[in-house]
Amino acid sequence: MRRLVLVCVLILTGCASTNTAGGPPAPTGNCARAPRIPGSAGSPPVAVLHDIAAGQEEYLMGVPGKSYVRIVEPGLVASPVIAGGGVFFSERNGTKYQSRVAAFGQCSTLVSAGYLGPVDPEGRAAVVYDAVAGHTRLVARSGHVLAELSQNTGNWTNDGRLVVHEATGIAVYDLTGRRRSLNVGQSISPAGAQGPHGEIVTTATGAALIDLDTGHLTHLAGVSQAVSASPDGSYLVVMDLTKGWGLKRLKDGVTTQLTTFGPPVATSWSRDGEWLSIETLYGGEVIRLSDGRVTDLGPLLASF
Amino acid sequence: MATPSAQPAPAASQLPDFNARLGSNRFAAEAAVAVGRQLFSQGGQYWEVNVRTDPLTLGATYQPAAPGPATRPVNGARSVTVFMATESSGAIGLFRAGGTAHEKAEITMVATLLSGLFPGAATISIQIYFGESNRYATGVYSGGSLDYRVG
Repeated sequence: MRRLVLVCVLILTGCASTNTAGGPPAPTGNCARAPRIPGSAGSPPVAVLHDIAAGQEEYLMGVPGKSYVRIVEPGLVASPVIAGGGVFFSERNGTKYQSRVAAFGQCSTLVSAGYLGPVDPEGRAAVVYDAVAGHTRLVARSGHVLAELSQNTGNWTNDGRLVVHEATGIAVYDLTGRRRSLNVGQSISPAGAQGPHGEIVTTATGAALIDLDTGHLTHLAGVSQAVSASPDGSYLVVMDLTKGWGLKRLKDGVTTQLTTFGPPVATSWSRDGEWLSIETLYGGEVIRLSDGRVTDLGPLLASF
Repeated sequence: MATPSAQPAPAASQLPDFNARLGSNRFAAEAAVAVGRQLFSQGGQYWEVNVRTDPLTLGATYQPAAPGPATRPVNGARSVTVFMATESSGAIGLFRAGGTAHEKAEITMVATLLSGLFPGAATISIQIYFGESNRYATGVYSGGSLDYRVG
């Protein structure tokens, strides 16, 4: 039986705490809070949503297909990210940016100066790009700097490793900041997490999967582009120039075409792998994998 | 908005609350998305759609977290102009398949959708482009009938 989940969603405005120390911050009391959003059996988890007809600063939170609250944060830039029981976001103050995190029900705390990049799915660390200081860093949720990075992009694996491109392979950072190179003798680009410790990569000859523990590279026959993979690694969203997007089951190669309400551009998986959100140029939808049920979100794009 | 909040920073409030690539105001932008979805449902046609109302801004305030469909009828538009453009050979092929009668049927479908979203609009003009500057046809929908001209 699916567990009922109560999620307290935070309206981020007015949070004065800027605690960067390791422990939980003490809310200062002036932190406005939104009502609790009850999860329910058979519904997707809480997501951040953006209406493609909206302006750049309007983001919602809620259960896709159900009800939403607006995230109110002056200076909010780009989409907030839900990870590890909190909401990560960037805010602008003049020409400067801050990356912050707000645990559900808490005021936000400063992660680091700079613009938020990719966030660990469990919310333990994030990439932060500080244009003013001229550096990109891997920063723990507490604000502790784990590593200096040479680029401001990368992908997180589901077990919390950051994968970045290198000339003839990839580099992998763990949550202590330790860096390890995986040289595969060719140029590959990380394209998304696959399973607990794998990564989709693009190569000169098509899509492939790399095991980050062994460095073993497996080319995907007949797949020109793999868009994303389920968190358990058993499904791939694949793109075919003639057939469109499909859901490929890796164990037997069976591919089911995905019907969308517009040209698809991106996906987001729930952490349990039960829900797949598809973003299109005309809005979004959420698919429940167990029965294929599709929820049309209209112009809303949902990120889990 | 779920709770009272601080006033937005001045720099933030200067940004429009709608996607200007899609429309002249939030309701128009939402309508453009609805038109795009409707066209895509006709075999997968991809069109870029922009909707402009006259006046450009309407008096109503859009409530993003309100329950119900995101695309909502609104009063205050005297007329509506739609620009729909595609460079997709597939979209052009599907649109032109069946000749002018099919094209008129598709444009009538778009106009009917928009007349429901902007019930006060006396005319709905639709300009169809193949590419960015090659206008292929124009349709003017008024009083329930369409005047459609190619060229």
